[in-house]
Amino acid sequence: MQIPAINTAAPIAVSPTPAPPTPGDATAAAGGTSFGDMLSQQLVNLNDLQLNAQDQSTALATGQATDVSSVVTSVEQAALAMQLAVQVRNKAVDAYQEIMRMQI
Amino acid sequence: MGLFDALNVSASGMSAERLRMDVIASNLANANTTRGADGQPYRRQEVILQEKSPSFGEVLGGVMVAGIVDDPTPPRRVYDPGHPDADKNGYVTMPNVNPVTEMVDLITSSRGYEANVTAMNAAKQMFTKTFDVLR
Amino acid sequence: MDLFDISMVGLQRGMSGALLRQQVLANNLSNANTPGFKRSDVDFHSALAAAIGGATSPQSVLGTGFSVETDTSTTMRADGNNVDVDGEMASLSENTLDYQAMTSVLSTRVKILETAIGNR
Repeated sequence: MQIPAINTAAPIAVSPTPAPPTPGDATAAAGGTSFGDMLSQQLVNLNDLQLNAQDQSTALATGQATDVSSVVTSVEQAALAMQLAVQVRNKAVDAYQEIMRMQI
Repeated sequence: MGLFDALNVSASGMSAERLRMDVIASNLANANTTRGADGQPYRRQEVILQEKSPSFGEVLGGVMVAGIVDDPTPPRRVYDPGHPDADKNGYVTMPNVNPVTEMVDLITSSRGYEANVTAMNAAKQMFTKTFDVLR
Repeated sequence: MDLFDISMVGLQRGMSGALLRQQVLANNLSNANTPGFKRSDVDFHSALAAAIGGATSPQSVLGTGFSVETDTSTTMRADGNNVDVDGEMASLSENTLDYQAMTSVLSTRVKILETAIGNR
């Protein structure tokens, strides 16, 4: 059996270290939105739900509502979305404070 | 109002059946009346029910009473010479009310009323349950 | 700054209107056999629709007034009374459900405000 000699003339090829990922790269490469964009989109959704609940409430008060179940579900959706947004905000603030507490 | 139309529809049904029951009660009470309000023997009355076209904002209108009319069938002639209202041949003209028919109509009307009450209660329960979503 | 926007003040006034209508309808029912009695009603929904349609601030809706109107439509009864018992019962049920709807929706909107103000 022949053991090939190590070719010391050719240097060991080292694969180039990949550049550290910048925040926008991976998400842009994936074709999606960044976390910041997602948060602002959720805020817009929350605002739309609140406005919809407001319109449905006005329709109920003026007698122009035609479907009780849609009024009730839209108001409940607005309440849940608000709770979700507040919890997300709490977690984000906690995460920020946690990071600020880290000793470098 | 568009929100609770089901209640108005059931209510129209209840009103119509109640009126029918009143007319049937009048027919039964006057089954042997030979002198009506106009001097003629009592004529059996019937209620004409018609579907109510929906008013503004409604989907269905329910039922309404189109009118109370006299039954056109000819009255019965009974041979009773001793009756004060007998004509020269001894026949008395009696109202064309058949108590058996009236009783069957009464039962139908009463069941119809109960059915409408059940429908209205079911609608009320559904609406009340809807508000449980909001606790 | 108003905590209650126009829709919530509208619901608040709607509840008052429903309470007034309840009294009027109960009065109709109690006079179901009074000769010559004509039923009345309160159309608080139309009054609110007019007030909200032209409202610039919630304060203007807060002062919406409701009027009790007599219904002079004809009747099939000989004594001049135009109260239809079944119709009044249905209107009473409808009014109760209306009140419940407005109450639940208003309380949920208030809960949204509480969540936003910040009970953690």
